[in-house]
Amino acid sequence: MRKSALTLAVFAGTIASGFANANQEVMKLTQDSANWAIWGGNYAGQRYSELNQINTGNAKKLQVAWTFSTGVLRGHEGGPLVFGDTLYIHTPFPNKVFSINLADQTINWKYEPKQNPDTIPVMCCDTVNRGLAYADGKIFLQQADTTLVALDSKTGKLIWSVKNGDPKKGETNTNAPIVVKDKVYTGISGGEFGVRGFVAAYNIKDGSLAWKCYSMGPDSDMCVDPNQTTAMGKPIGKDSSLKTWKGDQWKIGGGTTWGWFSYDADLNLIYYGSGNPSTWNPVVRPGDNKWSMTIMARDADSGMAKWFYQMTPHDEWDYDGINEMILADIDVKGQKRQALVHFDRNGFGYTMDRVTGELLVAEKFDPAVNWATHVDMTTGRPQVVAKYSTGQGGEDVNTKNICPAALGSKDQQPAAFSPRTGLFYVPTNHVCMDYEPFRVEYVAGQPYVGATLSMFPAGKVTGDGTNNLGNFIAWDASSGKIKWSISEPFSAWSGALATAGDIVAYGTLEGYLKVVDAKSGKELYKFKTASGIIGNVNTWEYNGKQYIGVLSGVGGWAGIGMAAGLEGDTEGLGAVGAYKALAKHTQLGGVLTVFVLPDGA
Amino acid sequence: MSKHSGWKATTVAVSWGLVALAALVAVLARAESHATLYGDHVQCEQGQTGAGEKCRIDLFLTRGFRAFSQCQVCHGLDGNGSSFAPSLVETLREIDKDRFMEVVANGYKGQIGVMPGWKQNPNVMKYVDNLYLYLLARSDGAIPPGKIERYDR
Repeated sequence: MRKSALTLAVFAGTIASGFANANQEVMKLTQDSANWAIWGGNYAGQRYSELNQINTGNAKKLQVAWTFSTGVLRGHEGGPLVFGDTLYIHTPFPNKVFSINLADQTINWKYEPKQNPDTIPVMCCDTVNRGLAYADGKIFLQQADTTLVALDSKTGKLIWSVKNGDPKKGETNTNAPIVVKDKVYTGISGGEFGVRGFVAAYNIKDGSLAWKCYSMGPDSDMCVDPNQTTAMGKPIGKDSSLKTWKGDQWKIGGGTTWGWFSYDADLNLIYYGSGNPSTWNPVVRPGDNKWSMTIMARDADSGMAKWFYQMTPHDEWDYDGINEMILADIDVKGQKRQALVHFDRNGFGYTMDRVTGELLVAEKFDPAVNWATHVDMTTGRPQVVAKYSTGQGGEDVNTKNICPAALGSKDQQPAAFSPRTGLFYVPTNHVCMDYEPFRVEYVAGQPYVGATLSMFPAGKVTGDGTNNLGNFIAWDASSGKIKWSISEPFSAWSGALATAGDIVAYGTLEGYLKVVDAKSGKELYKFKTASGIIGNVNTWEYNGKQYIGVLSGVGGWAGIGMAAGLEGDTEGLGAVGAYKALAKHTQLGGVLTVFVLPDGA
Repeated sequence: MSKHSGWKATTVAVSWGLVALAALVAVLARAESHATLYGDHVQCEQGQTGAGEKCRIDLFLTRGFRAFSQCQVCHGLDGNGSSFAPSLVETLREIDKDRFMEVVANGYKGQIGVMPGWKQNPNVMKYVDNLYLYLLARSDGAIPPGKIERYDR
């Protein structure tokens, strides 16, 4: 986004004190479109690049420039970081990191931690890792076993490491860390194990803990000021979380923080979301279960919360609120706004004022969404439809045909924003479910699910004769309307890229890298990579050429949920029709595929 | 074609037929012997076990299905496997009950995945017999995947 880039540049220029050196360095790297130095391309999480060598006119000529096998089989999420003449790429467990010389694709260094394999079975949904962060000559890796490490970016040598959690209690990590100023932020996974979510800030110099703020519990644990921290424009008041839980359930209440972090330098706020409350059985945890399922804005230095917005109070469907927060200055209903746009698991696309937390727009980004009729713009609460309420249905009752399914209308796969079109490009799921909660006992380190689920294509519920499991859509966050939509046979589970060449790129579960016209959605190019894509598409420039790179390597929740329900029409899917299993399209294996235009194109 | 080779071809055909018949008999015998294990927990229209959706189950197998929710996370929503965990529907054809109990309690290190031992988890271990019979019935095709209505409530 140009305006944002400009303000960031001004900001960087006016900062005089020494503490912000790392910040300035990363800020500078992200402002040069030759680089892809942070997961979202920039701190705003827009996944947009000013590069335009590859454009709507020539994208059809794209070719594979080079490929790189990670040697790891399981689900590959996230994407490469690139700056200067080096590309850094990570893998799922065992969380290898490779530094690759762009000149000849040789490996500068490789880091492979020794992690206890007992971590693997504590990870709920495959052993994914969403990538790296860079600052101050260090590559930051958040390992599965919760060890956060800082590696020398030149040599791969371990500089420091710190334990962020305890896998024996079900705590693991999958998220990409982010660096702001002199701190690296990370979250925690384990919502299916009764883990209490938090965000922790470590000093990049030595890994010492700067602060840790929980998603729920006493005010002192959550880094809130009852009089200053607001929700829907009002102070949250004393014990805002404790009041919404029965007894001390908040101690094992979930609200984990396994998604993406964004940052606004002008406001000095970081943004992220919290996940589902545990258990999945809503009957045993009455109340709103604050602050699970919440968009959080916190001061980057102190962690103090500026505002919260809980999207799904008292979750009954596992609609984690952890999806990315995209910061963009856009017109909303005719007014210029410093907006935050978020596509939630619950199927609503939210446009907020990121300064105040005011709710501006909340509309369904998949028309199949049926669990709520709408969001009340005064209270901010979704209007839940009784027959899709698994809590009202009660324990041991199968609530049928809820849309979306537990994996959400969209999961962690991050969307992109193009300031040129003003549109958001969103990879989505089009899947519904039956959900039956039942009572479970809590044991530390043991999964704590408490519901049985079936999932199926949304067409079974809408009755529109479709059987696709995903869509790739263009979204107008001002009006809350879909501009165009591309039907995908499987969930679109890959992070999107938008560029100044007016192209948008994303991957599919069958393994296609697709490039489409940002204005119309018309397909310009596709190539079938080595395996299904659940990684993010990133772009960079090296020696005057623009490259597009994506990790393939099927897996993740997509590889679990979607392997199911696709076996055939005999397996209880009724009218859904004959499906080909994902396994017929693709097999395991992590490979980075890099695309470029041929000379003279 | 000589008379001799014709006789030989017939013999081969008959032998193959016998092999196929024997295999079929074995499959039927297996399902039949299993049915004595879970048959009391399944009620099907016209008394036909194996009629798929037309069957209903009791609380015992429902508890097996609930315990199975802990397996769904890796083995797929219908137990047919995922990108890193094998199909339980197929595995139950290959292992006996002792082996099943051993793996559920103590876990398993596979070529791609690592399965946790569940011996500490009451949500699984209290109902491990239910889980076994539920999966056995699924494996035999006696009941369909997903939620099955109960006949005893």
